[in-house]
Amino acid sequence: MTSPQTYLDEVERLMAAPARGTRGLWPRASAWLLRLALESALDQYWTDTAPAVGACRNRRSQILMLSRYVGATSSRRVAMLWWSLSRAGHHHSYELALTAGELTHLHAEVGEVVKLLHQRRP
Amino acid sequence: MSRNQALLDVVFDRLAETEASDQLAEVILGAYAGDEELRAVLAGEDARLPRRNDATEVRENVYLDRVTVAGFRGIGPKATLHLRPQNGLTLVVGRNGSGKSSFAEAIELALTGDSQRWAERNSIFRDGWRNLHTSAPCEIDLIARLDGVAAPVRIRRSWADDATEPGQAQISQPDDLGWRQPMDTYRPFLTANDLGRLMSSRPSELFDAMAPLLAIEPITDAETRLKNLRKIYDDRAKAVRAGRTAVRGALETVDDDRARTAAKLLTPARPDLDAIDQLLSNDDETNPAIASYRKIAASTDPASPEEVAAIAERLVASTSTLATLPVAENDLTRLLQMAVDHYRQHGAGTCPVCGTGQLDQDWLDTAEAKLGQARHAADARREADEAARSARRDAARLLAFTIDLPAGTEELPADVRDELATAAHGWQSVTADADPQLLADHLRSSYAALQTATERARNAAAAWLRTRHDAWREHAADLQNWLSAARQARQEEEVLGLLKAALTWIKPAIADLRTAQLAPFANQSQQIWEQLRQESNVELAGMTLDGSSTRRRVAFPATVDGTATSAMAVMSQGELHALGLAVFLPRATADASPFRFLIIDDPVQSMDPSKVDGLAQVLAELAQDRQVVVFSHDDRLPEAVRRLGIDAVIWEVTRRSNSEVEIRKNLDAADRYLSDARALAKTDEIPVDLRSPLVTSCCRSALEAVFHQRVRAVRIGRGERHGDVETLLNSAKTTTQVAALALFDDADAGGRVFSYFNRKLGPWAGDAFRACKEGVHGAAVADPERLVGQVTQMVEAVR
Repeated sequence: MTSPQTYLDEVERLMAAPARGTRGLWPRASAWLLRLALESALDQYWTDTAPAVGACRNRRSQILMLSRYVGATSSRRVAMLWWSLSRAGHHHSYELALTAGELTHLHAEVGEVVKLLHQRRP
Repeated sequence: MSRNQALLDVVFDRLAETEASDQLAEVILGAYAGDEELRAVLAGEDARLPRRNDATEVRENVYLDRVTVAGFRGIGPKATLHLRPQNGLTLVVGRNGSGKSSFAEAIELALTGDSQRWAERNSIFRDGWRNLHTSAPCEIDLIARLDGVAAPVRIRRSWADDATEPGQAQISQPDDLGWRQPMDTYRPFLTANDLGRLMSSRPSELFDAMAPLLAIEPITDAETRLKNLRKIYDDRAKAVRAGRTAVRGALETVDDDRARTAAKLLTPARPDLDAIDQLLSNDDETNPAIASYRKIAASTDPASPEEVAAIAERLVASTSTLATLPVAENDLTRLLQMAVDHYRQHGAGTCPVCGTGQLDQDWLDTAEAKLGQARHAADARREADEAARSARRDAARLLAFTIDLPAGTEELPADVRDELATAAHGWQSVTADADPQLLADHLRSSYAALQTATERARNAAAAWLRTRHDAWREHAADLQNWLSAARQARQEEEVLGLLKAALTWIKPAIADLRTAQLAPFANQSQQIWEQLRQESNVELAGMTLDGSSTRRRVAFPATVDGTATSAMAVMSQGELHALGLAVFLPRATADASPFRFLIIDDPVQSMDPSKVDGLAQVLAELAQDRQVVVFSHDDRLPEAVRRLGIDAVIWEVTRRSNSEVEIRKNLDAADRYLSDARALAKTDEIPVDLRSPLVTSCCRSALEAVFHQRVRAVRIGRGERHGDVETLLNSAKTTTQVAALALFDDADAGGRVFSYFNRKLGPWAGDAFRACKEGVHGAAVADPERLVGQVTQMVEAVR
């Protein structure tokens, strides 16, 4: 399983300098990698905390469950992050890719959430 | 034919139609030609008047080729936006802050010198024109092309490191572009902000923005010239009229016969100027009263006090001398003289008178001595007598002196007159044959009083004369000035009449011309509005430019659900933007404009989806004979362009954190996702376990995009409302739901999607669809490149 940090590092690399062939597509790619980082962190958390929840394939249910484990504030933060990253990864009419500023913010936010989930393990 | 020539033809036609006199026609053409020509026509001199069918102008068509920008606004390192220098539609899409608007602004700044939006905004905003992320030079390099000219036109603006204002640019461009004026007239740059601002600005500003478009300045300028000149002449005539009343009023207060005459002459509305002239040139000599006053003022005293005193002295002295001289013994002297004569005749002898005495030499000597004495005494007496008589004569002359106060001198002060009368009476109360001593005393005592009285009368007369002169002279000067002005105004009456006739002719001509010239634009605006308004209930009945000077405005009579109203009052922000486009697109693309390009920045702001469709159609039509470049902050316009099958080049602009701007061709959404997927699948730099979910993510997005397109095409095609379709698409959350909606028109038919692909393309297709759904979450895909190929086939099948 790929660690959250691997995804985060790759995003940082993508944003800093264009990889060959990624001209202009890095915003969407970065957003999707960030979402994968978040999901990876969630998977690790559930494996350590409640493997039964982790076995549930519905990510939305997993996130709803989270409030009972890490508190309402933190779980809302994870939920918002997950939804905005999911949105960026799906095709939506009329919407353009995220800007560099938005991605920087999301990257920092995912980094913090990953850290938070890691600390909250039992 | 040039537009000015066309306008001139209209003027000539109208002159013939209205059967204007030659003189009137010359004045109008003179005003059309210029100030100098108008002056010459009015002065009856030869003037160079415009003629029909002069040479025609050659118009150049300007297209934009590319713009390279560095260190400006949102663009850091050098970035180039390529535009095809030909008719057609180009869309530049990028999120807010991606730097796309920086290109639009750079083009505008390069061509106009100052971006409209900076001119309007505050200094904080103006400070942001330089890019903060780069130390690279700040520079805009624009390449334009002229139709049929091989060499490009290059406009460069670069700024030194210490430049703080956009205006401090070093500019390098061809000298003789002559684009400034048409730039102002046609402004081939439209931004949502400017449109909103213009549409909600004061009516006169909107008017001013529209008026140059009509290109009837030569004739409105002619009207202005005529008006200016008429005002000058009119003001002069008015001043003469007002002056007549004022001068006359002033003259009426002056107690002077000339003033009274002048006032009377000024009574008619058209005074007899020659009579006034004559009055002014008259002098005073004919007036008897004036002569009397002059006489008094010019009179002199008969003698000085010293002379009077001397006469008095002589009177007294001569009288006393006479008194002391013995009275002459004339008889005795005569007898003695006769005796001497007898002696000389007869010689010595006896005295013939007494007969006893002897007449001899001794006697003779004695007698002659006596005779000498007697003669001497007689002489002295005669002399004294003569002196007394002379003194008395002088006294008589003095007493005879008098000052008459003839008729017409009643205006001397009463006390002066009384004093003079008293003094004169007193002076003549003693006659010249009075006792010398009395007379002398009278002379001595009374002369001073007389002299004082006459002196005062003289002064009074002189003062009267002076007053009369001054009073008249002042008014005469005013009257003279008025007369000159009146003569000039009289001469100018004909010119003024001509000017008025010309203005009467030109005013309806301008109104008609304005309507005629505006008509094509108004029609085009209305057509564009018809396309843009879609579901709006506001109808634009026809735009007019009304009024003049401070009451000028652009009127948009509109009906809302059939009720007449003003368009502005009832429109939403989005509708106002759309109306702005409808109003200004015809201006920016006017036939007479040399600029074949048109830059539109963010036209879809606050437009609802149906208006975006309308806009796409409008742009497509414009693009047939224009180079239309549209900058947009979201994908709605490109989507509409793709869906409606409009031929367009789409660029997508993205910006990295250090203001590095990337531009790439934006294809159809599905194609773009597939091309991204293909690129990612080959990108060895990203580890395969990270790459794989990205590739599947792109594949899934490609499928979703093509599903969306199909749903939209089907539903909008059968007349459903845009908003309803969007709501439906948003409610379909999963890829399967979207697929079901697209393939079976039913979001709940997800179960049939796999079999559809299996049946249509083979068993691999269902697996590929599943891989797209699951692989995105990290499940490894054995061969990403193969997946991309499969999904490409599926996308084609759905299309």
